[in-house]
This record gives sequence, structure tokens and C-alpha cells, in this order.
Amino acid sequence: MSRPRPPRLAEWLLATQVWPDERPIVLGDFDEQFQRQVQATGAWRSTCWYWRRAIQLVFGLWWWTPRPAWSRGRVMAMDDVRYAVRRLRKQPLTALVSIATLACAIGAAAATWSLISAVLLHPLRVHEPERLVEISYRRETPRGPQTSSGFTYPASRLLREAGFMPAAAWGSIGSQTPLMVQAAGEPRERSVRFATPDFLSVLGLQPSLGRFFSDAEDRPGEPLVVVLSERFWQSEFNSDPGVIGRTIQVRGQPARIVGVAPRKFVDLDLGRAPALFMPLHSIDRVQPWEGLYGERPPVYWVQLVGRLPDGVSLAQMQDRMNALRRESMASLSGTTLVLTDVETAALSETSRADLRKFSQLLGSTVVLLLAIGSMTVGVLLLMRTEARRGEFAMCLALGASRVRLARGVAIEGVLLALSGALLALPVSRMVFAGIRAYRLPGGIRLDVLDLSLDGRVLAAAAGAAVASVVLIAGVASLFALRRDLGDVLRSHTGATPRLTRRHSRAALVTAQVAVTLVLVSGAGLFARSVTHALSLNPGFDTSRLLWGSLDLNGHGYDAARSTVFLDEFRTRLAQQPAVASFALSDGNQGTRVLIDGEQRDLKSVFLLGIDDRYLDTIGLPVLIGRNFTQADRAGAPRVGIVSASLAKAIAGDGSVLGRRISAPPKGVVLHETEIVGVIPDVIRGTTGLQPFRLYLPSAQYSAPVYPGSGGLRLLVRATGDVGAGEASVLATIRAIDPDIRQDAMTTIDAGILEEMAPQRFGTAVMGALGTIALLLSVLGTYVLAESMAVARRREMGIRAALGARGSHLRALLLSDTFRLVGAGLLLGFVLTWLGAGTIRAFLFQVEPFDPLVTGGVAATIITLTLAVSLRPALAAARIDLARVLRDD
Amino acid sequence: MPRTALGDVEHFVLIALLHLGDDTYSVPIMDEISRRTGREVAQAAVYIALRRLEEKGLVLSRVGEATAARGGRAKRHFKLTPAGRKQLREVREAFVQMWAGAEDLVRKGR
Repeated sequence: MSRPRPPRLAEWLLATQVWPDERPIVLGDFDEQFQRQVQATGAWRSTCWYWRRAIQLVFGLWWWTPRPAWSRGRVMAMDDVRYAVRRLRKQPLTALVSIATLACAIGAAAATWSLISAVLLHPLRVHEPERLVEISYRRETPRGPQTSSGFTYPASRLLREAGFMPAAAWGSIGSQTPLMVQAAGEPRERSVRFATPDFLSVLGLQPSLGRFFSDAEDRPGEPLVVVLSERFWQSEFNSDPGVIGRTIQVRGQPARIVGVAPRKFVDLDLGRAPALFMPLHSIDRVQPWEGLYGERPPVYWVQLVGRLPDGVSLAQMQDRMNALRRESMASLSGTTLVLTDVETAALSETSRADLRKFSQLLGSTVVLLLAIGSMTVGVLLLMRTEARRGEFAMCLALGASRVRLARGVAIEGVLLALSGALLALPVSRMVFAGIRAYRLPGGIRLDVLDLSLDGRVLAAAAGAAVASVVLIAGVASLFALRRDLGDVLRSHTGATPRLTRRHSRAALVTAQVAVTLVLVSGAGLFARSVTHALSLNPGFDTSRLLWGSLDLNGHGYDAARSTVFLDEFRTRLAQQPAVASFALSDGNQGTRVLIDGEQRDLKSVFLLGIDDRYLDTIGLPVLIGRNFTQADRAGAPRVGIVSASLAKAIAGDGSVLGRRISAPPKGVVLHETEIVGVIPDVIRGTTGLQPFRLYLPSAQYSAPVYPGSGGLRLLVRATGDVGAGEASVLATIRAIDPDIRQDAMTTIDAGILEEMAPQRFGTAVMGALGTIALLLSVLGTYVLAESMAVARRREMGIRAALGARGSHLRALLLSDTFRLVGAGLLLGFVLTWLGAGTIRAFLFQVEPFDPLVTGGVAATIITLTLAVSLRPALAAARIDLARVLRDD
Repeated sequence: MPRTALGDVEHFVLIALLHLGDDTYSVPIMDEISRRTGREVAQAAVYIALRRLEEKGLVLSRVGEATAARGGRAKRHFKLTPAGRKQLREVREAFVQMWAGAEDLVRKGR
């Protein structure tokens, strides 16, 4: 049995701190005691013991070693700290502003970088994620190689049972379609993940309560069991540990709770965040679907995650797996298996690229804020040291050492920075709480990520702030200590004081203005994107219009029952005074199409079955041709209406009427249909501004019904208040069948706001940071203007005595400030131009260098800085030489 | 009075050396003090006390052989010098003199 080894870092600490001649002896003593501790208390406690004793020893040696020089230094250092605290308390406003500035900057930086780390660097909370792989396959197609991670159930079994590595299967039908779940409160739609019993063990996780499924529970026909996600456990059961054994309803079927998923574990798909986990084989009970467990028809719904054995690389495992003969399995024939590490697979390539850009944007934003915060504190420290130049000169003349005086200034800087870092903790908590409601690109919800502050990130942010403040404080003290007493005395008796430090302060203000312009412009660009999206012309009157879904299939309705329900629904809803008109549509399935029997290189055309009230309810005119009539029933010649964009793509400027459209033989069923009309494009979001839509009469088109597809789309135009209209629809549905749980309906604007979530997040974050930066810039400018006015009092007094007018003196002082603000704005324009590439991807119908936004922000900065520099300039211009001489 | 004053820990270390005999080292010394006084003694304090006692000539030390039980590292063995024994006697004598007649007062809580 190998000998337990003490913690190496603690050993190193000891080795560096004890007397060199005693090093092996002390380490030997510690090692001996450590081995004894291991025997008595175990490895983990012994490691803690070793650390505790090592720290005690190091501290004890420092404290008890009789070193006169050291002890004198220690006492002096404590004196310096006490003196610095006293000085800070004398000017509490300056100290508080500095601390609040640093707390905001460090807190925002730490929270943002923790978020970036949680989403991009370590998105999955699993054990050794680098050994976890997603298994997918590549197949050559006429359109090039295609990679997919969805397997048929038999193919997934073949790969799992081949025994290459521990591999678990997971999946669901319709990845974005939740199931109706009733737990402690009202039934709501929830996302459910189906998985094999070894899912958690492959991920190296343990349930936080209870257990995961057993093999016996993952069999067809077994009673349903469920493992709750931690979020669901908290929200529905208030984290009640007695939840095990209780029953919830999943799509109307009872499921027994057997456990709670590990804390912080979300899912392998970050955009999903399931509320429940259920055994793989229970899927056909809650999401029945033809061919779930067979090869024909192939349903690719199972995904595989495996853990690489020790010593086997990803490439080696890929080669081994590809050596397996798979010809017997139709769905795997002619494919190449591909392994990808799960953290890469957790985000789609597009989402990852978008997220990376978004993270760059956020990361650089907070770096700028951190820089501006440190600069502000630097400016304040410069002011303080300038005010103390007389005191420093006097101390030096009396024999004080320069090191001691410099240390005093540096300690003030350190105290401010450390206090700011300490207060950054609650600030970052507030940031996390504030951003929970937003979504990142890729649909990643921040509220499911269980964001927590990364200690290393906080330390790095605080360290950067402390280092820059101490650096500025050091530079400030150097300037202050270069003064001699004669200089100071001269400045009190008529000579002009040196203005060396004003240059560094001016540089800081210039940088602050530049950063402010970048941040506030960024927020403005995001806000304009959201405004543009909301002001999209959807092609119809959106007022009082509501959208919703009616999932009859999900409530166990077959075709006959659905028809009866819908007839009753139509009759009752027509009598509701709050509803002006309504319509039902069905399906929204994309397909490639043939025009007059020929394949056309069009992007996907979406098929929508509509009833005869649809166009009237939505308020769309027929541009060319005709609307559907009662004659367009089942069995009649098939007809369709196309969107204007599709009509143009099919026929250009020619007539599209009479052209025949169909789908290729494989894929979606679309029999040859004659185009009889053209209607305007219906724009319901920012992603499809030129929608290719083919509308078909509901009687002639039946969209494939699959579980959880959301069912029929319900479109309602309210007579007045949309809330009353929605309430009427929900009441009507409940009156017919109280068991149907209908989700809330939405408006077009709400849908667009959902799509623009990342941009709204950008607006909120950059807006908040930009506002802080603006306040800091204004503060910096005011400080500069005030100090310039004070420093030039004598000059102004002499000028006034020689006959200069007040307006001339004011202009003289203001021009100094505005030269700096102008330089800052120029620098800001350059930075905005440099950052255009990063922000462009997130803008909607707005250019990254939008003159309106950037010009508006620049004008705001100029106005505010003018306002704050006016008072000192006015005061200095009114100065009287006699008073200046008297003061001196 | 003894020529050089002893601190608490130095005093305890010297008595522990008396109990443990020659050729003992820091780990048993700490254990002995803890066992007899019922309180943990800081390791740094013991190391510093041993160094001071050696500087005062009250103990002698030698470095032993490296052993596998200590991760291949050696021990420093300590033994009392005659001066150390004399110092202990003198300190004890001083304490006895000081305590004479005071024990009853402590007990009565006066």
C-alpha cells in the first residue's frame, strides 16, 4: 500500500518559511504526525489538519521570532494602517465614492466573467467532462457530409452493448416541446428528459436526494417513476426532503418520485434544462409515437454519451468503434462514427460562435468598466496626495524616510481597493439576480444555469483593481515625494505651483470619456435593435391579435373527438362578445418543393393548413387571385395560396397563378396543388423577413400529428381588451372540457421581445455599465475642472486685473476641459469603430457605427461635462486679484 | 533567582525533556506537554523554544539518521545539559519559595 503524501502546496509553504537548516527536520516532524493523523482520522481530515498546522507554524514563526528590525517594521506597518484609516475617515465622501466605484466595477466584472466561465468554459456540471464524449455519426449525402447525434433505439442499443465504454442513452421526441406536468400546484408545461438508468453514473454524478432509476424501472409497462431536477424540486416542493415516494401527474399519468437530480446539473443540452428525468422506456407512455423502438420507420430520437476509459484517447476510441460491423443496422449503414467531447457538443456551432462573440462583448465591456473604476479611484488618490504635498515636504524636511511616506499612500490605496473588493460580493449577487430573467444567444436561460460567483474570477478582478489602484497610488506618492519644502513654501508666497500631475489626471479623464462613449453607444445600439424589431411591419394589423396553441392530441383526443370538440368550440367562441373573430391553423412544416414537377432551388417552404376565417381574422388582403371558399373541401381539386415572397421566388415578375406546387416523393406529403392566390408576407419575428409560406385549406391538408407538437394554432382578434379576449378563450375551452389545461396566449410583440432576448440583455447590461461610466466621467471631469480652476486662480486674478473680461476668462477655463473631452470622444469613436465587428452580429437593422446613436451619446457627454465644469469656471472668472493675494 | 529567565514554553520543554530522557525529539515533546497540561501547544512555539534553549546552552542537539517513516527525513534529537538541569532546579526552587504559604490562600479564594 502506498504511503499517503502530505499536501504538496502546504509542504512547499513550510519549506519556504522555516529556517533553512531546520527544513528537513520540520518537514519530517510534520510528515510523521500526518501519517499518524491519516491512521486516526482518514486522508481528507489529515490534509485539513496538515494545512491548519502549517499555517499556524508559519504565522507562529513570524510572530514569535525575535527580530528587532522585523518587529519594528511590523509596528510601523500597523501604525501606517491606523493612520490611513484615520485619514480616510476624515474625508468620508471621497472614500465612499472610491469604495462604491470599485465595488461596482469589481462586482460587475466578477459576475460577468463567472457567467462567461459557466456558459462557455465549463458549461456542464459533470465529473471529468474532458473524458465524456457524445457519439454521433457522419453520412455522405448528395448535399455533402451530414453529421447527426440522433440514433434509432436499436442502433443505440447496438453501440451500448458492444461494450467499448460505459455509455448511457438519453433523448426525447420534439426537443422543444414540453409535456403537461402537474405537481404541487397548477399543471404546467415542463420539459422532460428520458434517460437510461446509468445516465447519472456515466456523468459521474449522484442524485442529491433519493436515487436514479433502476434497471427494472426502465422496462416497457412498468409503473412510471420520475427524478426531479433541483429547480423543479425547489419551485414545486420548496425543497421538501419528504418528496420521495410522492406522486405527480405527467400527461395525466401518475409518476412516483424516486429522487432529485444533482445540484447544479442542468442537462447535456444547455438550451433545454428539463424539469424532470424519466426512464427511457417510459417515453411511449407519455409521448406515444410509431416506431420508437424499431428501425422501420426509423425514428432518430436517442442520443448517446460515453465515458472514455483511462488511458484511451478520443481518437483511439473512435477508431475502435468504427471497426464494429454495423451493416446489419440499416440506420447505421454507410456511416462513420464521430466522438465529440460533451462540452463542445452541449452547444450548437452557431450558438457557440454567437455566445463567444457575445462573451467577448460583455467581457471587454466589464474590463473597460474595471479600468474606468480604477482610474476614478486613481484620480481621487492623486487629489488627496496633492492636498498633502505640504505635509509630505514638511515630514521629509524633518527627516522622515521617503519609503515610509510612500508606503502610507500605497496603504490608503490598498485599503480602498480591498474594501471595494469586499463589497463586490453583494454587488455580484445583485448582478446575478438582475440578469436571471434574460436569455443568451442559443436560447440559454440564465435562470436555469444556477450561476454562482467563481472565487478565482473574483480574486482576479479584485487583484487587477488592487494592482492598478496601488500602481496609481505609487506613482502619485512618487510625485508628491519629489517636492521639497522650498517649493511648497514658494507656492504659498506667490510662485506658481508645478502642475506636473495635472497631465496624468487629464489623461485619465480622456480615457474615461472614451470608455463612456463606447459603453453608452453599445447600449444605444442594442436598444435601437430592439426598437427596430418591435416596429417591424408584419404585413397586417397586430392590434388586439393573440396567438396560442390548442393541444388536443396531448390530452388524449383522437380525430373523431377532436372534430366534436372543435365544432363545439367554434360555436361557443363565436358567441363571446370579447372575441371579434378567430381562426385555427395547423402545422408549420418545412419542405423542399417541386414547381410544375421540377425541383427548384428554394429554401424551405412552410406549409400551413388554415380555415376559411384565417385571412379575415389576421386581416390579410388577397393580392392576386382568390381566397379559399367552402368549395375547397376534401376531394375537390387541391388549391393553395402562397406568400408574396414565395410567389416572387417562383415566378419572378410573372404570374404565379395556375402554377403547380408539390413536394419531392421522399419526405413531407404534399400532393400536387394549384396556386390560386397570393397574400402579403406574414412577418412574426426577426428571423424570417421573407417567409416562404404555402397556405392550404384545412379540409385538404392534415399536418402530421405528433405528441407534444403543440397541436393547432389558435388565432384570436379581440374586440377590445386582449386580456378579456384571452380570458374568454380559456373559459370556453374549460367549459367544454375542464381537463384541458390551456397555456397563456401571446401577442406578436411579446414573441418578438422573446426573440430579441440577447439584445435586451445587452441593452440592460451595457446600459447599466454605461450609466455608471457616465457618472464616473462626469465626476472625473468635475474634479479636473475644479482643480484647474483652483490652480489657476492667481493667473485668472492677474488677467482680470490687467483688464481681461469675465467671458474671456470663462472661455479660457472651459476650453481646457473641452479639449480633453474632445480628445476622449475622438478616442471613443476609434474604439467604437474597432469594436464594430463584434457587435454587428447582434444588431438588427442598425449599423454598428450609427451616427444617430454615437452622435447622441457624444452630445449627452458634452452637455453633462459642460454643466459640471461651468460652476468652477464661473467662480474662477469672478476672482479678484486682491483676494488671491490676501489668501496667500 | 536563576541567571536567565525561562518562558512558559521553555519551562515546559525542559521538564518534558526530563520526563522523556535523552535523545528525544520535538514530536514526543509536544505530545508530552499536551498530555500533561491538557492543552495543545503551538508547534512553532516549541521549535523556537528549543532553539533558544540551545542558544542558552540549556539543551544540546544532534541530527539523527533519515528514516522512511518520516518520508526519508531526519530527526533532531535533544538532551538536557547539566546547565539545563541546574536551571530547572533553580526555577523550581524559586517557584517553591514563592508558593510557600500561598497555596491555602488560592484555595480559599482570597
